Amino acid sequence: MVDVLATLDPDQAVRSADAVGELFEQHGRRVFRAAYRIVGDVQDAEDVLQTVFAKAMDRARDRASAHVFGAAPGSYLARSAVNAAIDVLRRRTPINADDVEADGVDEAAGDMEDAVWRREVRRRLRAALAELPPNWAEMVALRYFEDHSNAEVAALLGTSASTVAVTLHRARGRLRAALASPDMDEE
Amino acid sequence: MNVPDDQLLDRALGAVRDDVPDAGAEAAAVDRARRVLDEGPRVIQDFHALVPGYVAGALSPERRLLFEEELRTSIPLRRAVHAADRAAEAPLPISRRERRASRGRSLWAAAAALAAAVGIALLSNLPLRDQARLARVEPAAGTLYRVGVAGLEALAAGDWVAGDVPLRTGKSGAVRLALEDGSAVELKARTQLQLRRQSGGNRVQVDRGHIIVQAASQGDGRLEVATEDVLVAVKGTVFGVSHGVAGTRVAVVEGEVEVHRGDDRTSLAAGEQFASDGAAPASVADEVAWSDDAERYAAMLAEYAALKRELGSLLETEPRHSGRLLGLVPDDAVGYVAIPNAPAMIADGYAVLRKHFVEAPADERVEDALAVLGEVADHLGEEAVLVVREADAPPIALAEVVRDGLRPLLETRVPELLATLDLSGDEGIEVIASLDEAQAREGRLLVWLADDVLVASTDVAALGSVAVLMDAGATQRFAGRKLHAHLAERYRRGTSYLAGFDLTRLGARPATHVQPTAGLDLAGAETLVAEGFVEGERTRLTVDVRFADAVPPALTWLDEPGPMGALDFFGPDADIAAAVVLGRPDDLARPFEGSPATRRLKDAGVHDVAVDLLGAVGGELAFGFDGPLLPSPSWRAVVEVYDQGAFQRGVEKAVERINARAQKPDGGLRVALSLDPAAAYPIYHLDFGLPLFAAYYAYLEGYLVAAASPALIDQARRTHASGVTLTKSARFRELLPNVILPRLASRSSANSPAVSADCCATRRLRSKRPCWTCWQRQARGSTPQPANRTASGSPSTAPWDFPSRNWPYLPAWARGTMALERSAMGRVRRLGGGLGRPDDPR
Repeated sequence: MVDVLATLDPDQAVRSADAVGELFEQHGRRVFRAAYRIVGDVQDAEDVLQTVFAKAMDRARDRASAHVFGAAPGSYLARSAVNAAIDVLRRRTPINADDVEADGVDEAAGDMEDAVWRREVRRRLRAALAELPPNWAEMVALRYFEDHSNAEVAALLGTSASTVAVTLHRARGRLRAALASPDMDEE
Repeated sequence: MNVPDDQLLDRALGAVRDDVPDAGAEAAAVDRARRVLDEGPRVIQDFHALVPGYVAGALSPERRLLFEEELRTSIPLRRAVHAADRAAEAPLPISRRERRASRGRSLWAAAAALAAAVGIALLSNLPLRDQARLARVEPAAGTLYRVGVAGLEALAAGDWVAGDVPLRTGKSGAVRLALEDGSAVELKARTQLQLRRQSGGNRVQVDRGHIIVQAASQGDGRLEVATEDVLVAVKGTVFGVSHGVAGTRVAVVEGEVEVHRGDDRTSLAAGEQFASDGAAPASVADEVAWSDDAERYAAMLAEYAALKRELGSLLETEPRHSGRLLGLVPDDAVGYVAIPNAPAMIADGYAVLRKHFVEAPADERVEDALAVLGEVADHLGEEAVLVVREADAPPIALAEVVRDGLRPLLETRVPELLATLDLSGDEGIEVIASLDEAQAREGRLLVWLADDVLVASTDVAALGSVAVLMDAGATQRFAGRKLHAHLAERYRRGTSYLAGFDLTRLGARPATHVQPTAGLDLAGAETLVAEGFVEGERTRLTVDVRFADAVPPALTWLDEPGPMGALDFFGPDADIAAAVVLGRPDDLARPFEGSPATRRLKDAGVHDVAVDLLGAVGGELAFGFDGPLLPSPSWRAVVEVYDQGAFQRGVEKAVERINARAQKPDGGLRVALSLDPAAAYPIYHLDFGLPLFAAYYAYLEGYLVAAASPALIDQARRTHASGVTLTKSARFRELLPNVILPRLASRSSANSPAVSADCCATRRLRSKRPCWTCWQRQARGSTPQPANRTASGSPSTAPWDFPSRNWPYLPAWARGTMALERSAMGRVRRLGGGLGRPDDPR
């Protein structure tokens, strides 16, 4: 018979919920924005937000990994958001790839031509991101969307800065190829 | 580099970075998410709080109805009910530590704790608010209907289907749905199901009928297919599910799936199937024969069978007779491992996999690594040798070079690859053409291309000692050693996979030290030589241990014959199982006191933890493979644990120390320890961040059971509970003619000075329990057990031919156990290995 009592704490769930609630207050919007940059859709970003904090709750419950969020829980959660958003992005294709950018954020930008171009380039870049290996896409998002340095990305992912540099170099090559087309070049 | 393209990319990245949502929409979305987060646990806990009342039959009829409705769809709730049922029948064993902590805690509180934990776990798979446009109907011969209050509404190709809406196919023709995540579900006629979008991935609830799922890659999530009695969880695969009144069948065409049934989990690989109680088994091909893609699926299954054959043939090599590399082994060698051209085997194996799985997403780093390995392999001879040296001397790798052009390859491609794989270390590798170049590069991995031999080591002196032996007429002192004689004998007969160790020198301290024991204390054993052959679908492995002239004293690590409960976690079809009974596990560390390995452990700050861990374990250790070997080997390790609390604390402390060390500049491995949220009982996950390797463990029945996946731990638990285990198998017993079952290790009680009635009094024990040896004696009574002897009294290698039907992928593995054979007459002792696969149709 399994010794369940040896590893469960009846108050753990409540404490977990409280702790994660505080994290949500502090970092919820940052997580949402990190997800939105990648998925480009409010509803998907909301789902990512829910997923990230549901998983955070799971982890917080786990006594053995109580320090799993580390000294910088914001970075940890942003990384989780990036991963979950990339998953959404990858699952989205091919059926509803055209549905992204449906929120019309740029319509008020004034310069309609520029807005159209920006929308198109975002759509292409997100589609290309979905085609990258997940760890590559994660590095790209952390480096270029979340503005982390190579060293910070390496620390977050538990690898070396040189590996990050090599991977980003390769990833940029892929993204360049995906973006390269006549209608993109003319801008 | 294309600068305009680069600028375009930077602008595109900037456009995404600057893309911000509408402030109002953002605030509303964040608020909604917060509400779900707040309400989720409460709603879930509400149901779980009712579990004790439900089990006790104390709920009102209305509440009971609501509860049972939720129970029908909630696997975690069902687990909680099962757990509470079991708890009501028999109290759970509680560790001493927990007994103290939980004194006064009621069973009710225990059930609530379990319920709360399980409830939170469910959070990661909550239904999402948005169930719209979950799948699209694709053109097909059949008709799909949406079932509503007004009756059936036919759907046309291109129509979107929402979640939580019953869908039913007509009386003929199949229908195909394309899910938003890229997966496809094919429905046979007369099938009914519902889809649901969840936070952790989509779910297909099959009410009845037959479906085939082509699951797209799920990232961190998973696609679930549920029937009323099983739940199938997948990440990317092709499989069929059939469900009717008689039960559920799951058949896998490609990839791997996990089938959950109550608390049990079963892992299925391609070509395998699962049938719940009552469901008649059918072949996998038959199970998907109704599909429009039946031919393709049949081809995939045939392809998989071919893959198994090809992978098996990779391991089959011609016997090697040339002992040239053996002639280059320096005197300080204590171990010698020779295998057929390893890079070629790895590269060829990967090529076979890629040939059969061309659609599989390729990891470019792995592709690059294997491409380089393949190129290196082309330049090397038929054999690769690793020489293990005394004390902390770095090992030496040897291989013959059969083609020009290896140096540029090693100088350019290999370092680049190592950097990409983050394996280059601080110093990298240096290719040298002469030993003169080596002096200035001490400390790096030096690869010396000496004419037609490659010698690699980080030790310049090692290269020098090999260089001396290359000269004609040089005297090889190693040639005078018994290990050399045994290895040379193998080459004369022709060998394939070969490993040999000089046990008298293994673990010895440097010659400058004066020590009472030169090497490992292995009861007078001198050499151990293991040899493996792959012959068609048979594998033959022999392990010979040779002793000194004197009658060997008892093996100090092994205890008297005793029951081997650890092997009861292996099924009768286990591919390999090896087990030993140790008298005093903490003695394991003794021969290594002062050794380089111990120093490294102390440097890493985990030596005391390792000693603590050994102090908490019992005497039984078992390791084996029980299940498919691909895509990840189904390894399993079982260790008897006396003090679970102490052991777990030791593990957690070790993880903390290792991670603390990883923070330092010289870094090192990071380890994450967590609990598997989906498990019905505590299963721990040790994540080393390594590709293709995962370790999970759980404490079951006084043992720690570790395996590659939670499903395998479930399988071990089920095997143990069923009683149909390896040691109970009559066929297994027949295959061990020279071993008195269930003793799989033994030592002579007459030569056991460490075993005495008062040994507990002298041992450093943290509890008042008797030590393992005393406990075993008490359990057995004081009657001494006779030492194992071979039936004939003569030494025998009698290789065992093990039939195994569980050969799904690599036909070159053996099934069986290892056992010590003793002879009353001869001085040769053998550690027997079990092996191979005869033409048994089982």
